[in-house]
Order: sequence, then structure tokens, then C-alpha cells
Amino acid sequence: MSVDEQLLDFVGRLRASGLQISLAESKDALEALQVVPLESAGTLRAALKATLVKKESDFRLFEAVFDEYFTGSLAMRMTRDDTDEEPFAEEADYAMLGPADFAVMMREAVASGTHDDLVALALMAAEGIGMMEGGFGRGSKAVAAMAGSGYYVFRAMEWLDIRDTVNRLEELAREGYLIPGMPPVLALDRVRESLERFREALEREIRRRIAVARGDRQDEGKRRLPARPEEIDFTGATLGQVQEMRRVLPALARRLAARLARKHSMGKSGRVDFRSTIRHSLSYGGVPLDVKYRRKVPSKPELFILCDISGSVRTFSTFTLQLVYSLHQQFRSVRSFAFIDRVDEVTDYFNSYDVDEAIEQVYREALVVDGDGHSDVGRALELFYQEFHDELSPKSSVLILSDARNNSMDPRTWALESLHERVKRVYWLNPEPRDRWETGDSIIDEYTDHCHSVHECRNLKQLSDFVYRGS
Amino acid sequence: MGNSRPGPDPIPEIKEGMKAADYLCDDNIATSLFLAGELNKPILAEGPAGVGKTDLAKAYSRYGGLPLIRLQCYEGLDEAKALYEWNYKKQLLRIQADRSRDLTWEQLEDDLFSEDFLLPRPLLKAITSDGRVVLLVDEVDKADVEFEAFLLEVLSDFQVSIPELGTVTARQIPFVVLTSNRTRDLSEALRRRCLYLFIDFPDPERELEIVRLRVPGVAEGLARRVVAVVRYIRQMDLKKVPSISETLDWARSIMVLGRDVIDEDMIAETLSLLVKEQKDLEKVQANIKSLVRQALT
Repeated sequence: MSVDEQLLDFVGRLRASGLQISLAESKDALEALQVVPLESAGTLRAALKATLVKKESDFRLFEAVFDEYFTGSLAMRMTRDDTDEEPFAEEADYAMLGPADFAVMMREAVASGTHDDLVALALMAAEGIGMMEGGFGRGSKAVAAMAGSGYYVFRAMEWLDIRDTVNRLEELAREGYLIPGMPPVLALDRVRESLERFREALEREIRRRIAVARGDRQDEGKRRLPARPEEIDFTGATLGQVQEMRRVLPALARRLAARLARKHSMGKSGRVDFRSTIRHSLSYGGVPLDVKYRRKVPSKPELFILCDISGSVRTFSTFTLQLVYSLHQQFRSVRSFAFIDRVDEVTDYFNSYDVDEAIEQVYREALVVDGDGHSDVGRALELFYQEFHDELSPKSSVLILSDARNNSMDPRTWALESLHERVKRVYWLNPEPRDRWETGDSIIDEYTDHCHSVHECRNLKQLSDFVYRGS
Repeated sequence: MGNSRPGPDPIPEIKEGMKAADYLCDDNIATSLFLAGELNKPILAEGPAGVGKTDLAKAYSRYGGLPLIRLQCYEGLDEAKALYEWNYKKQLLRIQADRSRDLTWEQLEDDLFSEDFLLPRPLLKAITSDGRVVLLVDEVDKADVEFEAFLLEVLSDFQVSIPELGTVTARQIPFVVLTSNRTRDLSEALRRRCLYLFIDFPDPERELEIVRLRVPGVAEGLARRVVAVVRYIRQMDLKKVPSISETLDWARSIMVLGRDVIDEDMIAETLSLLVKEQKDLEKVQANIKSLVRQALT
């Protein structure tokens, strides 16, 4: 393959794994390769990254595809194209890699801090463990035939005695010998970071090899790559991912509030302004040539948010409470309520504390439990209606965030029905996957009739779909 | 993949040159600078506040010996402030001065809307400049979406039309750096037009080098301790973590104070230079013992 063809092939890979790359951008990348020196992998990586990937949140995905495409032996991959067999025989020299060599190479890679060295090392380790186990996912050993990547990663770490290597590296780091001139705390950081990168690359490579061995290449692209932040499930997000997701919330909140405030009719102007029309008609001798209209004042969004904070939706609610906080920052006419089996207004927390403290206060102080801490959506809705129905008006919208798992209690749909009659819109966001609705104690379908709309809301993408489009 | 580019590898060259201009590049930054120059495309630099996005443009202008034109974005920035304005007061004066001269309307109009009465703003300055310039569009995320669309148009053609004067095309395509702190997501269209560069907090070695470069005369041990402490503080869950510029300020002030030991008291006294939020300050103060133990031993 020529350089150009290969680049297009690579761009195809990136697209297949979910990145959007325009024609213009791949053209830029082609031009970049004409001018940039390709002797070092670092420059190639940097050049492709600068021209093809325009969001920091997509970097991880790019790195993964890049590592797999370029750091593995490229020539080999090309000749191999149509066979599913891994050419173990050609790579027999990796078999010589033992824990001792590995420790030396690892030390060099850590000391130099080069990403590519670590990835190369991980590829070798994957190769080695594949040979030891007699192939991936189809070996002679029964356990290996069924095992997932976790098994091989564990075996590889054990075989190479990674724990021991890391211990020794950490000791060197602490005494200041690992990277001469670097303070111990920084060197220790480096060791930890390198180990993490190594492990990540190892796992990725092992997953790829298993997929290849099992012949499911279609799936290959999706399964081994890191998820993009907007597609991570709220319920399974790690702390770091939540931090990343938080960044987009203020913009979403602004948009959501603006949308809820919009009038039903989209016309620019309101009713005829009679006084003004007559006044202007004077200049035409009393003929009302120019009809004047009153300007429409967009109504302030009166938003009531009911947030389920029970254990079953804990990660989701932490996240939505952050959204609620952003909404409070934007608009004063937002009121928020938390519930488990009773409902309590939490507006004040959000108006007087910063985001983390406010959420902590909600969990700690809000009076949301009467009984045993099992959620009771029906009761919460009833109490909400009884206490606040006077304050609801046709201008208000109600947003309910809950999985509608009612622990087999009375759904009291009448409460939601009366609520719905009083306000402009009722929206329900459900963090559960749609195919799990109406399984077990979920009663979302009984409420659906009394909502303007119900949305599945498992990740940022669905949330912003709701905010930007859905209603 | 080999290509046959003649001459030495330009990337180390850029690194050296930028270093002489007081800016330390890593591979990513140097490659982006090189590509931007070769492909005549703007760089979009994103990253946390205080990692040197703005400095990048300044340093590049020193390195290339090119004049720097800066456009600071803010909410409400419009074409009149960014591109050009007519000098209304001067035009009025001219009309008054011309009153005795009995000019026809056409003559007057030609006079009034000529370059003499044009107030060029940064974008027009960059386009009409004779030589190559570095155009820094700072904090583009602060500007409105409409302005972003307008900017896109200017950046893709490097020409603007002024109704009274005609179309002005750039003689030299400027070297453009846009910076963003990601307070809002920029449009896909703008991203597509630019080379993307994400600048994060540097790894410790690079930060150490930056301290050595930017704080002349700093003792080696002091520099290392400063970096280690800052690094430790950055790992705490703070609202606003110390940036590189704050690292530098802190190192400088320790030198000015003439202290050569960093201990608990010393950190407590000067902490407000590093950590600027009251809540964050309290948090770090509370953990100062473990900070000293873990970062400095």
C-alpha cells in the first residue's frame, strides 16, 4: 500500500470506531504527511492527531486505534489480511522474552517515558502469553478456550511477575535512581502511570487477539476500544468519567431552560398593539398602513424538578443533581425536589452552596425517607401534589428523573394525572435501558400516559438529544 | 511509511528556536506549529487555564520575528470591534471643514469613505499587513456563536469585503492561533478548519525545565521541590488547580523572599500564590502535613 492508501485505510478504521472525520480533514492529514518527517513515530502520531481529531475527549479512542494500527508490526498485518490465523511462527523470537528481560525493558521504557515503548512491550507480552497458553480463546486448555481478556491479562501479569518488577521500580524511584535528577514523588508517579498505560495496552491487544481468534471481526472495532464520554452509561461511569461529563452540563442546562421557556407558537410577534397602530397612522393621515404588534415577552421558565435519589439510581441522581445545580445557576425560577418515599424541597441547598456541597447536603439533610428507605414514587408524587399544587400553573413544566421502580407499592397514578392537568408539560427521564422497563417492579408504563413524554436517558448523548430535540 | 523530505528534521529545529524564545515545546506542540506553518492553517489550542496557550502565540512571534496582532474575545464582541469601523468623528470633522468647498455628493462620498477614515481592528490589520504576522484570537470560547461563524468565514478565505471599498485579500496568510478554555464547545465547523492542539499540564520533567528556563538563577533543588509540591496539589480535588504561571510566580516569590528551604510554614505563608479559591485554600491548609511528607521526602 502506498502512504496515501494506508492513511485512508487508517481513517476508515477511525470512522468505523465512531469518530467523525470529514473529507477535508483526511485531505489535511494527507497534506500533513507530505511535509512532516516520518522517521519518528511521535511526529506521525502528533501530525495525525492534529489534523484528524478535534476534541480532547476523542484522544483516547484515537490513541487506541493508532497503537493498534501502527505500533503492531505493520507489514505483517498487511500480508496477513485475509487469514484469521495469528502468525505465531514468524514471531518466535518473542518466545524468548522472559521475566528477566522484561524487567530490564520495562525499566528502560519507564525511564524514557515513551508511550510507544510501553505499547510495544505490551504487544510482546500479549504475544508471549498467547504462546504460553496455546493461542487465544481456542487453546488446548479448556479454561483458555472460554476465558475473556481478564484471564489472559492476569496470566500475563503473573508470568512476567509484574508485581515484583513494579516493586523494584518503585524502590529505585524512591531512592532517586530510576530517573537521575527526578524527585522521588514524581518518579513514583511515573512508575504508576506507566504501569497503567502498559496494562491498558496489554488488555486492548489481548482483546483484539481473542476477537480475531474467535473470528468475530465485525465486533472487533467496538469491543476493544475505550468508550467516548457521551456514550458512557451514567450508572457505570468512573469518577474520572463523571468529571469529564460534568463539563458539558452548564451548556445543556442553559439550552434546556431556554427550550422550556419557549412559547408554543413560534411567531415573532404577539397581538396587535392598538395604541401604537393608531399613533403611527397619524403620519399617513389616519390610515393604519403600518400595523404595530406588541412584543412577545418570553415567559420565565418555571421549572419543577423531581429527582429520585434512592440507591437504585444513585450514580444517575448524583449526575442529575449536578444538572439541577447548573439549572439553578442559570435561572432563579427553578425549584427542585428530592424524593425516596417522601418528597422534600432542596432548592435552597442549590442556591446557597457550591455544587459538591449542595449535593452532599441533599443526600444528608433532605427529608426524603419515612419508612425503610425503599423508594415509593407513587407516594412521593402524591405528597408533592398535595403540598405544592397551588404553586403549579399552566406556565410550569415538571421534570421527573427516576427509574419508576416502586417496590410493588401503589403507583397512585391519579397524582401524576392531576399534576399533568395543572401544568404545561410533564417530562420523565428514565436512566434504565428501555428493554428493562416494565420488568420487575418498574411501573413506568403506567405513568407514561400522564406525561407529555418519557425518555430513556442512559448517557450524555441521550440527555443532550432530549435537551436539543426531544419534547 | 517513508517519504523523502530533504533537509534536516524540522521538528527539533522548531523546539530549539522556541526554547530560545522562552517557550518549551513537546513533540505535539512543535509538530502542530510546523504543520500550521506548512499548511497555512490556524491552530486551535485548547486546555486548562494557565498552561501557556496564549504564550505559545507570543513565543512563536518572537521565534519567527513576526509582529503579533491580538484579538481578545469577549461576550458581545462584534465585527465593528474585530474587523473595522469608520471613524465617524473624523468624518464629521471633514464634512464641517469641507463646507466652504462646495463639493458634489459623489466627491464627498469618495473622500469620506476612503482608507483615511477607516479604523482597522485586529482582523483587518492582520489581513492587510504587508509581511506575515501572528494573529492571536484569544479565548474564542468567550465570544458569541454568531461571531464564531463570522470568524470562520474570515479564516477560511482570508479576505473581507468592505462595501465602500471593495474586497480586501490577504497578501500574506497570517499564522493564526485560536485559544479556548472550553467554557463552551466550539462548533464542529470551526474545529474542522483548524489544526487541533490540546495543551495539558506538562509532565514533571517539562515543568521542571520550564521553571529553570523562566526563573533564571533558580537553585536546582528548589525548582524540583516547587514542581513536586505543585504536582501534589494538582492531584487534590480542587476547584481551580495551580497553573504553570502560578508555579512560576511561586518559584519567583520564594527566591525573592530569599528562602531556600520549603517547609510547612513557608508553604502556609505563600500558599495564596498557588491556590486562589478560599475553599481550596482551606483544603490544602488542612492537608499541609501530608503534603510536606509526601512531596518533599
